[in-house]
Amino acid sequence: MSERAASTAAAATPIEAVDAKLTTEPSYPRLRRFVRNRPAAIGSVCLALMFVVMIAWPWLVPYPDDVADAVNFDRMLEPPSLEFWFGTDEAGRDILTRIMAGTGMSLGLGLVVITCAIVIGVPVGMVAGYYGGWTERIIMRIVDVFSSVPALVLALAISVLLGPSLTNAMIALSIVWWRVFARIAHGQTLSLKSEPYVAIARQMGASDRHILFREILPNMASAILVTATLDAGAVILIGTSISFLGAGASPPAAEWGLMVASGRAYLPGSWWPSLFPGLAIFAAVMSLNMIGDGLRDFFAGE
Amino acid sequence: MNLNYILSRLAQMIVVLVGVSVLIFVLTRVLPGDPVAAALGDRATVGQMAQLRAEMGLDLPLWQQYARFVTGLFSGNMGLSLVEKRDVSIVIAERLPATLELIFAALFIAIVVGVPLGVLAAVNRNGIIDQVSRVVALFGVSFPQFWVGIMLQLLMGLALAWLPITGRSSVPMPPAITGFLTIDSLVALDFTAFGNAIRHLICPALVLAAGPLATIMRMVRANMIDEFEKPYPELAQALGMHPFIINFKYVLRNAFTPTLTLIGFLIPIMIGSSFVVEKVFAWPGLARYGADAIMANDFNGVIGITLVICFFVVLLNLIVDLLYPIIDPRIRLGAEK
Repeated sequence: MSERAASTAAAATPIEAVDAKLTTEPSYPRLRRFVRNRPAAIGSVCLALMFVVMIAWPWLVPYPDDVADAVNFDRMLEPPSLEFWFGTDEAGRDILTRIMAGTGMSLGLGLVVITCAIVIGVPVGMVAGYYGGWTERIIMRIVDVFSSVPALVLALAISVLLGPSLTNAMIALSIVWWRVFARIAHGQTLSLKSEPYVAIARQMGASDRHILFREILPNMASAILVTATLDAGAVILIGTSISFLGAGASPPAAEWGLMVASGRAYLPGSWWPSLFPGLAIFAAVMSLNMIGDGLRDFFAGE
Repeated sequence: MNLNYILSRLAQMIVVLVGVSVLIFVLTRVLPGDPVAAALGDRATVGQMAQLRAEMGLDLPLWQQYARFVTGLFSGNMGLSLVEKRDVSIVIAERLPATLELIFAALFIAIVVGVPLGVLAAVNRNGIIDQVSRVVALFGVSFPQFWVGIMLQLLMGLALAWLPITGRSSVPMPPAITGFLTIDSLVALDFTAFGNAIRHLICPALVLAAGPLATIMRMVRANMIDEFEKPYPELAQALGMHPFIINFKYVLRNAFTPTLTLIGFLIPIMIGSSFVVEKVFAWPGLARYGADAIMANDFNGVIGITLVICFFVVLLNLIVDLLYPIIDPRIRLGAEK
């Protein structure tokens, strides 16, 4: 009872009352400004389509039986045709079907890894920037250590040590990627904590937690969002590379990097099993880059 | 140059290297991966596995294993590689030059092509060159390198047959002095070997350079445009100075510092990418050995490679930092501390 009363009292400091009353402006004019950036609009549409495929592929794919370990001896390595738009692979499976079914693995990997990296990295970086002193020194040295090993190398090593699988590749990439957001949150907190509104909030009796999460965090949200979008692309590139090298998804999963790797054995005669999955990775990453660039220009204009 | 600054940076380097060695050491020992099971296969008896584990010191407490590793390191000994059946330090010494040659070649292409293109794009802002470079840059950072490598091999090896698509050399190698084939062949005045080495370098270096080239180009463009806002380029133009001199000698120099920072960031990324590129192009370098060692749970190999890579990352970043005051004399290193 008394605990609850105390927390209500804390929320009733004037600055929090003001915050609660602040409503965001209607977002339609801003949306229009974002969409006017043509590459960002194209990227958004592409990504939206991919999300539809990611969820609805069981109903959309032309050959639902070909997703995993089906073998069709009668149509092995058939070149692209009206029947099989992207051709068939070494086991006679429709490549378009498998690419569509694999959308969730790459997009999902990007989404999960970036979310985990933000959840770990942002609070750590904010604490380092806000409290300074030894806390900051120790945290930032750890960030330095993680930054001085190339992301692909560390993620590959952790993924193999955990036992190669797509889930472990995601865990490995999250362990590697938190440092990116820790560094951004640290830099942003350092510059934001000297803003007048933070000083005012402190004088009005706001707690550290309130200042960190209600005053500073919302003001760095745009920087985090831009990096998250651009880095989701980078994470997908590294994630598919890990599967390509054999330390991520394992056959017969329809993972794009793995499909390029297994198609490689049938070059140069059959180029389609390795060409099309690579184009799918390219399309996903390019969409994210176009949206990220658009978001950066959008926030720079505000 | 400021000696205190360099000393404090070297101290920082050592802290980071110790940190990385502890990190990777703990990761290899704590995570479930097992080198002994990987090396002996499924048919090994419990006794055989215990014997190899004892030989490698894997049955000791963690801190004793680390102490053994560090003492070994000071005598130039990194432990036996299970993949190569030799000491890791020998394998690294043998394979390091090939990787450095590839990365330097890629960095050279990225800077020599990326910087002038960035200047051109800034000068013709929103013109055709700028638009094309924007699209090219977007492509450069969006494709998976393993896939472009394979497609380039398909194109070069079959359709065009201009360039070799695997390995480092197809003629007798010149005597090894630096380990860099291009330099060794020039020293030996063996121009056939030199041409051969360059031809082998082009495809993998291009794949490795594409992403960095794109980011360098966009960075130079953005900073050139910021500099053009200042009054001095206009003044120089009014004084009748040639635009080429204004752009490349004055504006570019002032706009280059952020690009230098970017190059520092790109180095670890390029080293990471070389793991994939060397695999695709069968390049006999450190990164390919590193990828094999990681895949085989070859602990000593993984730790050795990681430390060497980390050493080069921090060293090259230090060199980049020391270049700041040379390129921009307004910058004084360590002045703020």
